Amino acid sequence: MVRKRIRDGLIFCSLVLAAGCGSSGGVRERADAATGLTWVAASEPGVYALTDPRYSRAARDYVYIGPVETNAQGMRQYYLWVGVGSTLDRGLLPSTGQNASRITMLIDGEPIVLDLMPWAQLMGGATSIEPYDPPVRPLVEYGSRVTRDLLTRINTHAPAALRLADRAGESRQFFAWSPMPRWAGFAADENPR
Amino acid sequence: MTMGRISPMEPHPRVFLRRCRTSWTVSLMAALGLVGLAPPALTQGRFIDDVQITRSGGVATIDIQLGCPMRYVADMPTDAGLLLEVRMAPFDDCRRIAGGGIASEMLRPPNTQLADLVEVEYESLGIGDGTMFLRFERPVSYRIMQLGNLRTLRIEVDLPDASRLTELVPDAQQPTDDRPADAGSAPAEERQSGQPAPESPDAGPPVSRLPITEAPITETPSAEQPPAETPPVELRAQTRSTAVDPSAADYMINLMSTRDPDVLDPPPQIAAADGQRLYVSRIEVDGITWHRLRLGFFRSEADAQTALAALRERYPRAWIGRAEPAEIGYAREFEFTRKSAPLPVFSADAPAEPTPLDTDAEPLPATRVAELERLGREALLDQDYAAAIEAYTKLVAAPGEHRASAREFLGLAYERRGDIVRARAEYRRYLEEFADSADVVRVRQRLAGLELRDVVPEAPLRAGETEREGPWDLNTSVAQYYRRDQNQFDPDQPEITTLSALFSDLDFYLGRAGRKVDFSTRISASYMSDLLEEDEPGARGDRHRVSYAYADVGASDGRWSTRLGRQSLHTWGVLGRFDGLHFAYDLTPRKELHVTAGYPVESTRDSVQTDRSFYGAAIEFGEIFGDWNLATYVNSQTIDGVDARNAVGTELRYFDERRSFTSTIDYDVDFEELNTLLMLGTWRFPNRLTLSMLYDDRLSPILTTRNALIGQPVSTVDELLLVWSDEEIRQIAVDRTAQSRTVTLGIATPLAERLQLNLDFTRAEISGTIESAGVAAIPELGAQNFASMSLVGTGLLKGGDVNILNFRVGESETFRTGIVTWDSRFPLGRRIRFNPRIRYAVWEGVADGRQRTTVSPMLRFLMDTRNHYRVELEVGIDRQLRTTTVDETEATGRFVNFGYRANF
Repeated sequence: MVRKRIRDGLIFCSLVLAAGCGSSGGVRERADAATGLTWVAASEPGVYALTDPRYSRAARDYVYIGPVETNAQGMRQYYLWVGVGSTLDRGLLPSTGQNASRITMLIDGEPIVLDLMPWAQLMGGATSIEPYDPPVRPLVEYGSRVTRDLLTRINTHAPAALRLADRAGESRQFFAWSPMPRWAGFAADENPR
Repeated sequence: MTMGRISPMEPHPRVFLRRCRTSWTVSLMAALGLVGLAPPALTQGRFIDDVQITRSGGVATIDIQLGCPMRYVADMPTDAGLLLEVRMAPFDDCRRIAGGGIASEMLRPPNTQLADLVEVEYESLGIGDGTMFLRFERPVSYRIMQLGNLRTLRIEVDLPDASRLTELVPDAQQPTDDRPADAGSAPAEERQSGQPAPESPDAGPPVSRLPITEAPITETPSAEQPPAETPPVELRAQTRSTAVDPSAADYMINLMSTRDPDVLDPPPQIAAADGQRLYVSRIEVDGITWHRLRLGFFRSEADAQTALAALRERYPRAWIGRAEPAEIGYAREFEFTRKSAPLPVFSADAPAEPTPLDTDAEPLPATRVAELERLGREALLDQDYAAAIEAYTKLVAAPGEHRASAREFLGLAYERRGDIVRARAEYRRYLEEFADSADVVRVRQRLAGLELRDVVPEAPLRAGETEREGPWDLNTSVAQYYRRDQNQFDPDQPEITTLSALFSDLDFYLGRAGRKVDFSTRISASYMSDLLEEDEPGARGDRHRVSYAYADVGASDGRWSTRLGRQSLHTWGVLGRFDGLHFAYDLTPRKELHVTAGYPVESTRDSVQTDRSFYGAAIEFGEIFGDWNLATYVNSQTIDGVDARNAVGTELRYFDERRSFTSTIDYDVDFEELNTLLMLGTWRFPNRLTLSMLYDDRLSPILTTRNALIGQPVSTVDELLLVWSDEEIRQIAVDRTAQSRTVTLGIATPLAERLQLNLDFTRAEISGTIESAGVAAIPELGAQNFASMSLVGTGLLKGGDVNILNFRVGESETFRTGIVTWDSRFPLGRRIRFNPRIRYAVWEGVADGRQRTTVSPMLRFLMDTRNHYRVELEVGIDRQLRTTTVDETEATGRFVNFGYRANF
């Protein structure tokens, strides 16, 4: 009986700990060995998706967005990381978002339009900065220079949809796939570190 | 429009002569020079009776008065939040409006700017299914509630700052109501979690005390903006940032975004610190051009935050971002020493380079050149600068002698649009390219004029110039439609014209906000000119209607208001339209007194009828506990001097972000009968699933002494009194009144990103009436059960399209019915829309096996012109097959409906 109680107690504690791990949304902080840059990202990005029933009703394109802060000897910069992935098999056709140049969101009624650059180019020589590893591996990654204020707003207001556009003017809208996770370290009630 | 101008549309002289004999309604309309119309549905009333918009603080309230009872089903924001679709379930009373068929109507009510609303549209798919569309100027957050009378749909819209009204009211001139909050605004303001609390009126905007070296950008005088009492908000960043290093500073504050560039003209009153720039960044998002008022540039986000602190109250949605180099370079071209010139506009979609010559391009044919020149010229005259730029850009890009004048006009188009940098670029390129042209002097003058207006300060405004009342606000909607119905009721019979008429409608609003008292007036009237000969089967004769004709006078602070004239109310015991008075007074911030009195209106075709009269009073208690509101009322009515109704009642309402509940109890103390017991609740879950419930138990029609006239050969109670006593008449009234009970349960849920499912089940029971006073009994109808399923797809094929597939089945002891409806809206560009629709209905009598099968395809075409007009064409066919046990009969109906609506 005692062993059973201990076992049940351990299971309960494990569940509590697991639940805590799953929802705490702590920050992840790393250093880039090549540049000495330290960078911080949230535990998980926001997830947006677009189904394309022409190809599949089960698979879809995904856009992930997440905050990134870099710190070079006290000089902090903020970025919005954008990863585009897909579980769709389009055959020879190119995937969505291969040449995205702009991301658009409506935050609290305000149109937020951000120019995108390839993530690696934006990070310069800091090649180790791979801030997020979502379930669907991004085919392309972009970034945009933003402010902490903007990251906080994105996280607080959690836009219901976002739109990726390329230079040719083609654009596609993605819709929130799951509730926006809390971006610890970038939230409204937290001070900048 | 004058009578003379419309007469060519009415070829029959009899019509004109008949109009000369029409009543005061038409005389009034003629005096105004406007004769308006109503689309066919309006002949029997409207689905949208009225839309009233009020605003308190950051919340605008849109009250949509429905022409017949409807139940809210679900709502869905689409088109990036610009379009709100509200699914409604109309009750059987709505059958009188469009005969239970497919119909639509559009309304652009007064004061839309208070809620950033553009228009309201209703599309009926027949009994049990309809959709209300609210198109907004900008994406909004909202809450929906239905009031207990089922005749009012209330939508509260959050507009924290960026709406035009707030923008036009400077901080120091915000209403200085010393009450904690008025009855209407208190709950709404408290719901705005993100809003900063309003400061004391004495505090004014937070102002930095650092001196500024450049003259402030000052607005031109307007009634809403007395500059003398509104010091510009001065800005400064931290000391180290006052001298901005151009190479490092790229942080900017996005103060506000608006779709209406007029909001920024004249520019807001903000004093930029040394080295900073106030400018507009224009960008197109999903086909919508946004104008973003920005202040830059700051060396760090902290500096921008410091500057924003002084502006946060005025621009609560402001955010800090980073500008691209092109934007920074553009804004830096300007020196803000002027006061009222348009702000520089940076187009984030394209660089500010003069339009190049495409050297590889083939010369344009002379006809094409002439056509583009004509288009550009007309667009300039129409102030459609985007179209002018498009035309002249094509001309400039193609080689040929036309390029010189095209480049000059291209510069002019940019200049008129406020894009000064591009205008200057085009003029400068002109002077480089066409230095030998005879028009060089003129272009040089244009360029000099642009450069001069950046440096010449204007005289400061005098304080007294703006201390005056607001301007008159005139809002007029005029529509004229021609409708023709042709029917062949039997294949052996000839086809006959059952309707050929010109419908005209006028909605006139005039208002003015005063310093202490606001005034407004509204007239809504319609007129049908019957174009059929008197002896033709469908001839009805000319008809006019006056739906509204009232004047409003009220305190500017909202403490009291009075409405006098023809108006409509479905609350506080008032039973709809009446000619009379409605007075409202704030007893306390959360207690409001309403007094009503007047003569009920039986038909909008009637003038004032004094045989019936009523008076009543109500008190609205706001937030009695939590989000609960309560109203109690008394209402007394007489007919021909006899008591007709003495009712007391309550209306209880609950309203939060996800749930709403409203109930109405109306009890007649003389008849000792419960007239109405109605409960309506909705619950929206985070996953957007919406549950709704309605319980409606009422006397039908509502019990008044007048019910005694039902089935009688006389039309007044006075005549009944010759035969029966008061008490007997009251008993006859009870005998003629049935009891109806309706229970509805509804579920609405999104199935996928663009697909919504609505399910409804309704059970209705109507009792019979007994035989008395020579009127036969009406047997009980028994229970009627209806089930409805709608699939609503949005943006399935392209952005903005809406497809609705509705299945509805019903059964009772006497009939069975099934209806399938498909309704589709396909936009073609931003101005054109097609609405193909088709309905297939089967009705079958249980007892005798009779069957009716109806197929009704329809096509509607809508086009919005650039100058406030909407043109509409609708055609449809109705094929009906009637089958009995012995024969079959086929009937066919055709209709065409075309016309225009103009809003000024």
